[in-house]
Amino acid sequence: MLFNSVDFILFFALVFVFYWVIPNKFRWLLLLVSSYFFYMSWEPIYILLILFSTSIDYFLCRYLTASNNSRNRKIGLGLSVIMNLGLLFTFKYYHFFQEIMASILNLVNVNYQIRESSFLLPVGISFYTFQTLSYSIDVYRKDYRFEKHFGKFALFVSYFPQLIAGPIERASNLLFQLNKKEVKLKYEDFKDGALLFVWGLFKKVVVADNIRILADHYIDYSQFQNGGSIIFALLAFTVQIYADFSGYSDMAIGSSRMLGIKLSLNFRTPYFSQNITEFWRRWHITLSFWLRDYVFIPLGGSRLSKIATLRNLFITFFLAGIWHGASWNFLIWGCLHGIIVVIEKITGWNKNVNHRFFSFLKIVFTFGIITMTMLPVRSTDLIHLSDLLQLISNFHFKDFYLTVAENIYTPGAIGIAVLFLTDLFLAKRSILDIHKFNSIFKYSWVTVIIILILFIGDSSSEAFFYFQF
Amino acid sequence: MTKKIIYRLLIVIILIVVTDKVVGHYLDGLYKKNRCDFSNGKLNVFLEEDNVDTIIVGSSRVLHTIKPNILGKGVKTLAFQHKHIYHNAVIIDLLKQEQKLPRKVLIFNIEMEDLYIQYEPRLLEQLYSLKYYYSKNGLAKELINRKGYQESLKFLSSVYRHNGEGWKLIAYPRTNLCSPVSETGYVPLIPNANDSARLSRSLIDDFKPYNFKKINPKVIALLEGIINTCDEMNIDLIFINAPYFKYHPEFIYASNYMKKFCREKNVRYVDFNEELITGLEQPEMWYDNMHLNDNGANIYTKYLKSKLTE
Repeated sequence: MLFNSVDFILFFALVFVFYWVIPNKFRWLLLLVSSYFFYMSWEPIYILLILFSTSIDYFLCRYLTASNNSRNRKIGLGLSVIMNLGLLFTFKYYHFFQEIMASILNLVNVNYQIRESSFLLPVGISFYTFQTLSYSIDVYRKDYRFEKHFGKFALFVSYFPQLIAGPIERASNLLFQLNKKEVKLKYEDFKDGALLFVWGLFKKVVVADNIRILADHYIDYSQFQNGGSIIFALLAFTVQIYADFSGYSDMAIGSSRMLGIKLSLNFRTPYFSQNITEFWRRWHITLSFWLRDYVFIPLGGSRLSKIATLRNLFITFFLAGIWHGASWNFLIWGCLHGIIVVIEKITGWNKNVNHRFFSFLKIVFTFGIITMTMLPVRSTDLIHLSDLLQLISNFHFKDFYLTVAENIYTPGAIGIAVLFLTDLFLAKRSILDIHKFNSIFKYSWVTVIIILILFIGDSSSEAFFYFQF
Repeated sequence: MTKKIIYRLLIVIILIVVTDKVVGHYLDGLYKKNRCDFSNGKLNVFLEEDNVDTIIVGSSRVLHTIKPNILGKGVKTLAFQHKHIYHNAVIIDLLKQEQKLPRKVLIFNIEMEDLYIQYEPRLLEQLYSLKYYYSKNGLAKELINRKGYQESLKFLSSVYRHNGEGWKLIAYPRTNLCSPVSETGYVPLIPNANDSARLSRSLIDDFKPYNFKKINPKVIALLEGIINTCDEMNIDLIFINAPYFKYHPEFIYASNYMKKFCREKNVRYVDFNEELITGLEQPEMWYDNMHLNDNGANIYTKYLKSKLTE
């Protein structure tokens, strides 16, 4: 059940009405049942995975909370980490691991047959395992108390608005709100939530889905293309992935806000960043903070020597790449970002400038880097990646101009124009900034957005790009 | 609080409904006026035609591969890229509704994958360009509704009737993208240097196993509907399957099914993949595995003509 489907809108409308009609003490149960129903609409059997992960984490955290012995506590945490990462490895990384093994064994002339897994990648597994992992670590560190109520903990793991593709929540935000004694329907929450949902839907069906058609056309049939059209397609893909993922996040945050639960901000106009370091503070913010708190800082963060800090930065970005996908492409992508962040740290490029013209230049330059590093993300494999690089090496501006001219009247172009102007003038931090404007403007803007969704929105309910992670 | 939410929601809903109706009405006007080769401008032009003896209906494998002027006077092609049996059955139904069916012959190209039940989702997706006819043609509505109950809800919006290709009605007319509709309906694929690379690539792409096994009874019912229409209107109906450079083995079962079905219904069916058409064995005649270029179209249409006069 995709957010961009009528099914979800009807499902959410039902949940919304019942949620506000029933007494507060039963709401967790309604949300839990709804969340399991939502997840089972993808692949019913994988609900067992969530139940398994939830139960093991619950009992291990209970065990380590009850124990005063530091060794036992460490064992409890270790088991939780092994179980969560083990699930990820089995379902997401096992095939890639075999590929690496086969490559290594091939070097010593040993033929290793890769066994095809019969498992499908359970949707959202990277998100909910990281969420439960953070809970176990927080309980171990005593940063958050153990949640005794199994149902509420299960809801924290499976809360439907953010179950499939984040934001990756911490117990201190989500579980805390699920435990609130009194939650009332507020007009502000409803208004903000609905606005976020509509804006997210626009980003997804008008911008992302329409641009996807352009990007796919040029990249998947690259043998008939030239450097100019591939650069155009890469730019299109860079906007597509932002509109797709931030659109999902807006819809997740918006639907949750209408239920009176505030989820964490996940995007803050990331393509207006002045450097890659800033980009990661504004792109998939909850993952960046997760990696900072549970990888970078435990490795020593920036408290150690300069070399150790750079090493820690690189490792963190390497893991960010691998988190996104089990393939060489994502590994390369993570490494590229790691190297760039390290260079920025050494050269001081990671500091922002206030001068308007220079900040503009830095933003354009950073966007160029982000676009180029999308190459491994979008290419299907390493051979495809090398083909695309070869085409780009023969870039002529005229080809690029002709490709732009060919696509200037497409719905994707209309979507990009509205998205860019809105991000630039209306929503510098969030779409909720629109409340600063008067009611006539706001209502007109919402009407235009909804009419555009109906008119040029892709109605085929395409899945979100980040679901594959 | 609830009152305030309902009050504000009502304002937004009224604003959206009014805008939707106004914009929808404006787009309807643009749609009807459209005579360019996009957003069904071709269909609008066709619906104004009289004295058409023969129509050839099908996908891009008709659009680019059959030259009506070789077949004779009064022959027109009404074919659409990426549009198969569901779309084309609605087109026939619309022609019947508007009393624009051909006077003598209807040649209907069938894609073999259409016959398999696994292909149905793709057939339903292809109906996006016929949303305008949702409330105007019963078959269009029935087929679009097969996508699920959600579709009837979406059509509460007037603008949604133009979702798909409707944006071209606004964006294209004042540009050079508004190309006129070809007089005979044929659009040539001019041979070029990329043809051989494209043919090689499509031979890889087209030969992924489909693993299709079951014939779709809904498609068969539509074919029966077309046969009945032609019987009623006294039109000669001929089903054809245009040639491929290399034929997919999984299409053979469907083609055999078609042969049996047409024999039972007493309708002519010609699978050109079973014919030896001299000249078409040369890769230079092909745009890709399933489309002939202009040179190939000459050879194929002449052969088709000889077959029709047999």
